[in-house]
Amino acid sequence: MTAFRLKSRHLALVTALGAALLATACEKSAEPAKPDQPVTTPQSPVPQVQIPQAQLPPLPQMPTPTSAIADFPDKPTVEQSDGNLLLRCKGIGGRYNFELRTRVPKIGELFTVTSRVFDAQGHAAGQGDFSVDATMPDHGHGMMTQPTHKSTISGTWRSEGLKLHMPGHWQIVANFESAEARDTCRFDWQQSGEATP
Amino acid sequence: MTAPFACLIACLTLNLQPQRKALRASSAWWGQTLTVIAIVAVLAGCHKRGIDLQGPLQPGEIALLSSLSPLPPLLPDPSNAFADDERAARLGLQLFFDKRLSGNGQVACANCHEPHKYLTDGHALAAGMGQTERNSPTLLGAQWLPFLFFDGRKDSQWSQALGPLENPLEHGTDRTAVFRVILGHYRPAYESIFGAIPAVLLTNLLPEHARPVHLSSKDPLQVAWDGLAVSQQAGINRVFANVGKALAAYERKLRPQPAPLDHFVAALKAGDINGGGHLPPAALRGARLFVGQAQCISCHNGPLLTDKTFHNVGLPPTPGVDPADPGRGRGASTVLGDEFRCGLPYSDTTTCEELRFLNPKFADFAGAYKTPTLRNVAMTAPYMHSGQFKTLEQVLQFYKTLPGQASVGHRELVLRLVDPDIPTADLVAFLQALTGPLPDESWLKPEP
Repeated sequence: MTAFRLKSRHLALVTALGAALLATACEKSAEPAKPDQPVTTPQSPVPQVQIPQAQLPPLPQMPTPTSAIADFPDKPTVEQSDGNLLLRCKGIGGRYNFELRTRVPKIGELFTVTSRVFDAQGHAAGQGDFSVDATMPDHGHGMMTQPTHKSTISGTWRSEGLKLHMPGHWQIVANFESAEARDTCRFDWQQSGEATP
Repeated sequence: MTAPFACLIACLTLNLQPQRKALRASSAWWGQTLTVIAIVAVLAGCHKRGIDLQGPLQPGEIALLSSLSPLPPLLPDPSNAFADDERAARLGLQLFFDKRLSGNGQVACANCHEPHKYLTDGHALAAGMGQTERNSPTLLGAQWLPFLFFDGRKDSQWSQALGPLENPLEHGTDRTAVFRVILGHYRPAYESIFGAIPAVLLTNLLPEHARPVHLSSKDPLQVAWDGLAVSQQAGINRVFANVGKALAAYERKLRPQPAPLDHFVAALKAGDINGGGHLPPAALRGARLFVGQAQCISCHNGPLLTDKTFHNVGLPPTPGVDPADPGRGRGASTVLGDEFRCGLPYSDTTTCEELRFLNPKFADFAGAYKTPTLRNVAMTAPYMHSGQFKTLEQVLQFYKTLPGQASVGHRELVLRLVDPDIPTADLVAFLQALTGPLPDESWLKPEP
């Protein structure tokens, strides 16, 4: 019975990944060649308009990953459980590790991300600038909103005001810059087109 | 060759789901992950090359079609304490049809939002006391939108209702004149809802016409406005805002009614793979194209069939319309400076999430306009923000050819040609299946 379960799961995984790869290849072959288009991220300052802040819902809870901090995956991982997302990765510069948690984004709805940043030894990152952004590389644009990023306790940030306004492939990008180094993590996310009015 | 193969594999993957549900609970997320991958594969692999539109609906198609219906209950509008006050809605109904709320006594809200034209006017460009540069959008479904007007320069239905009143090309009136109409013709109804009109306004010394005129300190209306006491200005602003809130309370009654698509999806969700036969064959093919090969659902998603946001599709210019109009590029800044926006004294809430994170300098706002709802779209021609197209066939022909370039900003990179081989008639048949009946007749004409 156990053997059958493993075979089913592996078969499902292989077939699904194969389908996705083939479909992606099919998609690319159907597209006209496009010039390289840089991903533009809005860098505008916060408008000088005072908007009252709202009471936001509590953040989602997910089980703590069983792996040790030092064992962050080499490639970014996106885990989904009970409507929550857990994103983990080693920074591409190898200086910091990132862990992001949020509810599964609904298209066109604001959502909040809580993030933890660790140094290579697994300690919470100290002082620094942290941000989470999201871009659509195929579209050449980012979000229509400008999120805020607030440090709560050492190495932990709360980012509010993210919104994925279109279905399709997004890259969620976390950045951290301290006095010593800067590092980045990129997660691929396929946003569903299912919306609430 | 690869697409049918991907389709086959993806469908096999989906068929494995019942077995996978028997797996232990700790691995449940595998099911979600694989299902998502499989649906993407189905849509990307199968639809890209065209699936058999005569065959049974695929699971991915059912999931996407089900996301288009039904409209859920309307949430409260915290910015308008009278949004769901029945008395305010009845007052709003009367105001909606009242031509005295205009500079020439000839323009009412209903001029451009004719009830029996699904709250549009049938003209390419709306006209009141002058001709505007925008098409009149339907009001059916507007109560769900976070930003109003094609450029989103208002953030609530009640503040939107105030804009046309003081626009010289629309009603061409002013808030002091509006106050006089309320005082002279609606005072009992008004005071029963909003309370007594401030005593400071009950004077014969108020000017006939006065309002703020942006950047025009010598304009006679501005001069007259400057002559009022601060308490009088605040009192008139309050009455003016309440007029907007009554109009919005009325407009919240104007909800899209169930269309054939809604009946179809309801039957699908009840387990009828044929959707109860509520979509004729051509409309069903169009529905599958809409969520599949044509990818209309990228922007026209959710039960309102709009993503409620703004895109630059590079429409052709319209004679008589400023080709340099930045659309959302200006509207996003305008709403932040609006005196009746969320969070300011005339709003009934300080919770303003959409404004708080709005980025007015988002590069792709240039030349972008709001995605319109497609509910009742067959009844609301002409189309686009300046009425560029007279028919749905012309709209679809535009998306099949994407001629020209955007006059402001650039056409969104993702916007691809709709496959010219897709039958336009099928998509039009589906769009026609989005037509429901009009709201209750009692909300479509003023009370005697």
